[in-house]
Amino acid sequence: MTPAARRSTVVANESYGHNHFKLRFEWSGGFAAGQFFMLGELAKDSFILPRAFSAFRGDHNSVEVVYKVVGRGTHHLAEMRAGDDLLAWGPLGNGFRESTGPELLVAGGIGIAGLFARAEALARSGHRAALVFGGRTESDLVGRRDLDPIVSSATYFTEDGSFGEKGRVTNGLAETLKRGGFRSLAACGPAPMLDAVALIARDAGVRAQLSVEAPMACGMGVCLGCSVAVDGRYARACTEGPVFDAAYFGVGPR
Amino acid sequence: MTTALDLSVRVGGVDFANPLLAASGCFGWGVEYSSIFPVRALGGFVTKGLSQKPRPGNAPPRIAETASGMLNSIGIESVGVDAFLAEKLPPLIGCGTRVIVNLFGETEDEYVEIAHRLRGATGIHALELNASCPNTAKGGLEFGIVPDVLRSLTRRVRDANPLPLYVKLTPNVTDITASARAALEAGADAVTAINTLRGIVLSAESRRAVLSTRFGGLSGPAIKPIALAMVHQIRRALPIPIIGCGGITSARDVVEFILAGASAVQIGTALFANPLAAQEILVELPVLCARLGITRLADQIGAAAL
Ligand SMILES: Cc1cc2nc3c(=O)[nH]c(=O)nc-3n(C[C@H](O)[C@H](O)[C@H](O)COP(=O)(O)OP(=O)(O)OC[C@H]3O[C@@H](n4cnc5c(N)ncnc54)[C@H](O)[C@@H]3O)c2cc1C
Ligand SMILES: Cc1cc2nc3c(=O)[nH]c(=O)nc-3n(C[C@H](O)[C@H](O)[C@H](O)COP(=O)(O)O)c2cc1C
Repeated sequence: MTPAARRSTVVANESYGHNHFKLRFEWSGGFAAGQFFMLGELAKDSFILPRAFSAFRGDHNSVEVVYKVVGRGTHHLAEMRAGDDLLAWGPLGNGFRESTGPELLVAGGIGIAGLFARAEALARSGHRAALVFGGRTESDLVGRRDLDPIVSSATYFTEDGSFGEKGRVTNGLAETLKRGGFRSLAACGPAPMLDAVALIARDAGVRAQLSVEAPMACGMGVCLGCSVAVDGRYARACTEGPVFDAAYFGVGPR
Repeated sequence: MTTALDLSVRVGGVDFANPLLAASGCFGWGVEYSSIFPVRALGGFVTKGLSQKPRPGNAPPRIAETASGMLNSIGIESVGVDAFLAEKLPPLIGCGTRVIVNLFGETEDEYVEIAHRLRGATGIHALELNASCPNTAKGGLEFGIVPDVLRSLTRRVRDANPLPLYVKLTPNVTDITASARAALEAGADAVTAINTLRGIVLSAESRRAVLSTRFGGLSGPAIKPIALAMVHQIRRALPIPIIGCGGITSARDVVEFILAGASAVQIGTALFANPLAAQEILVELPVLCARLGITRLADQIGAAAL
């Protein structure tokens, strides 16, 4: 799927839990699970770099993204209303590899946005998908009502114990991998979480795909700003990622 | 009936169908945007900085957003001249627009070697000497800030390859006309003004610079007035064609640079913010020219009453 850039239109932009929103914009052509879109010109009267958002869900005519309001870009995005113009380009990035068996999905906070489409794809292809999803507090665990019906099991963690088990997603992860007979793992979340998950997966001998976030300017593979250390070199998170095999992740050039 | 508008320009021996080029480091190797807009719509484009050997570039983080722009320290991550000739150049032959190769070296000999290797290669219309990259430990800036060093480098590259030679100037100097003069005296066909300005983005929380290299190069609309002033200064001082660059986002910006003395322009950061920017500028430009009573853009070079 080659990317297109379009001046699109916002279809809906609704609250999706505390400080989170779900934005739907007109888009035909679809996407693969794990791909993302760049949304640009979010500050109407001043220069702003685009922001990357995982393709959350879509149909023939639209794509949905889910975001947490944290800074300048998402602040502007949250002000958008149905009918507003929206500059979008995508679908971008490699997406997840085809799944071959039962998979464990590991999400940290808004990282769930990068895994939702994967969970749906696994459900569609009849593979078992178990979710472990952690956040600081209950309001970080967005989309539970949409997730519960599509995953075979869901375990929630909060650091403050306000919902689910108290602790982090990595608590007991090695055990879960072993007991569940998972062939693969897919994870999306903050960098320290991904590092920890990568180690656990390696020890367990489970193939892990990590969806990473990196500061990104173009999304098209030209600015070379979003480089991450992979397999002894710097790889572009936008075109060579954002999904990387954990076995090669974190190893930069010598 | 409307009068036909002539957008063509000639810069240092190269004819461009229109004055809008994509800037180095902001358009990859010319094919990355092909599904978004046809490269032949551009007057031309400049490749990513080409080094003699492959270079990994700097450690991340490499970019940060700033007020009206961005800071980058990519550090010339590049494929090297062998891979360029074998893989990057062939798809560009017959691409329908002008291809300018941006040269980068850590030593004078490296620049000369790349220029030499590109001699006779099909599909290249001009060379752009990046003597102004502020992001590499050894190379880059040094060549651009001392006029005598720039003169010597330019002359040697000039002798190594007969293609039209553009010298890209750094704004991180006291007097940019001294750099432009050195380039002119050494046989450059044009100068590109400007590259990025040195800056730091700092985090109060971590008390550290955000970029791994501390310093980076500032680009985007924030630098446009500086770029315009430098284009004007060079135009005033010297008879050398100028390619204006720095913060261009609209057709109005293009016309302003041409009025200030640029024969053509490059856009960089604007393409990141909007991949349709070049196409939209080229739609807007004839409309704006008509409104301003301009029928031949080349007549407007340096026509501002500055
Ligand atoms: C491939 C890819 C996919 C992405 N998908 C999504 C997605 O689906 N949903 C989504 O919300 N974001 C996603 N992001 C992150 C998104 O692109 C923005 O970086 C993020 O929304 C912050 O943008 P901003 O302009 O609001 O904040 P900025 O003004 O850029 O940042 C403000 C501050 O917030 C901090 N910050 C950045 N991200 C977070 C965060 N997640 N939580 C807390 N603080 C943060 C920054 O470090 C900074 O200090 C993705 C990024 C990438 C590279
Ligand atoms: C991410 C990035 C990479 C760049 N790489 C190069 C390069 O390899 N060689 C070069 O001469 N200039 C490079 N530049 C500088 C641009 O070509 C241009 O001179 C500068 O960004 C100012 O123009 P702008 O404001 O339109 O971006 C780079 C700029 C950016 C933002």
